Amino acid sequence: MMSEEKFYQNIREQMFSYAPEVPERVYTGMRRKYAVGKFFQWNLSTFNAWYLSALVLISGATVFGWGAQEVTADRGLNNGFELMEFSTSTASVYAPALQAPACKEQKVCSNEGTCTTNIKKTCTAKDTPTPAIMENVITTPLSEESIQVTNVEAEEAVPQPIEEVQAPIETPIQKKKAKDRKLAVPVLKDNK
Amino acid sequence: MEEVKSLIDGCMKGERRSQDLLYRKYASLLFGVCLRYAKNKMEAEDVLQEVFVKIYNNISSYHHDGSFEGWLRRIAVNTSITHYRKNLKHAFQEDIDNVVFQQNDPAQFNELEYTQEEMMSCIAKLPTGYRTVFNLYVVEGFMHKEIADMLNIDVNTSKSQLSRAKAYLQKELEDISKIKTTA
Repeated sequence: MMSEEKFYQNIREQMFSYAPEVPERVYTGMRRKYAVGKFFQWNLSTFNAWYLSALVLISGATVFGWGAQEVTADRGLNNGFELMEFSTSTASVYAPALQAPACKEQKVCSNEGTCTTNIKKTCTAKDTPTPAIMENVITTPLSEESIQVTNVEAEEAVPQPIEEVQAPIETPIQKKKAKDRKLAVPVLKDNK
Repeated sequence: MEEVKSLIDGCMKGERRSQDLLYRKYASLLFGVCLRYAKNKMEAEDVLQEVFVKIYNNISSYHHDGSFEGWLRRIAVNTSITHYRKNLKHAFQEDIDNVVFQQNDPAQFNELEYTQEEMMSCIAKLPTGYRTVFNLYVVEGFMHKEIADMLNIDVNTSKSQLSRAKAYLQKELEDISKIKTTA
């Protein structure tokens, strides 16, 4: 028999030098863990997750930045177009483009049995259906003419009173837009 | 000694060859440490992987002022304890039911020689908490106060767990010796 202390001393010695064989998979797993750890470690000298995330962020910002620019550019062009068509009160610019609709049709018959149909193309801002993009844009009367349908004593159509055109009140946003759309204005003038 | 120093320097520079050589040299030894603390071989393998990752990452903190092997062992023990703490919830669940409290006469220690494998199998049978305390006290040589701090337990808990672990181990070794003598 031996003492407790000696017994445990024996265990200590045996356990201290205990070195069993290590399976090969441990090395493979350790290498993988080490590589993953290194990849996520902050280190400027090697390519790692931080570089990758920075790369993704930059490329994402670039792509979306360009996308946003393109959208803005498209919008700018459209706005310019709007500006060109509607923000000026020059009838000659858009008169050919817009066919004035027949706003009123008058049929006047005399006592002798002759009738005259007056198609009055006097459209005011009130009469003409305004497209959505023409909001806050003042339109002017396009044209006024009477078409004789029958050849009997054509009566002159009484001209409709032209509604007073108010000067456009530009909001600060519109002013800014107008500034941004400077490109559109010269184009307009050249066409003129 | 020079060989170890060059290995350490190579590892500090991040040379893969030095890292591999270091692994080949110390893996078995550290696997033994991990096995003593782990519940099974698979767990010990996991811990050993963590140990080497820690060694590679922190080798620059070794200043050649003590035993390198001791430094490696300490990392293995600390990693094993960290692993034990992570699984602390389940550590004591089976302890009370499985352990047979049989206080043997301390003087009655068999003089039969046991192989390392036999001892390891007996230690592995100990419940996790007992095994950890036993390893720290008997093999690593820590005091109860230090063990209590490391494992976040009371000093008396550490003492009682050690005595139970000893009793359990003694019984297991006696069973082995009985088998040996009958054979």
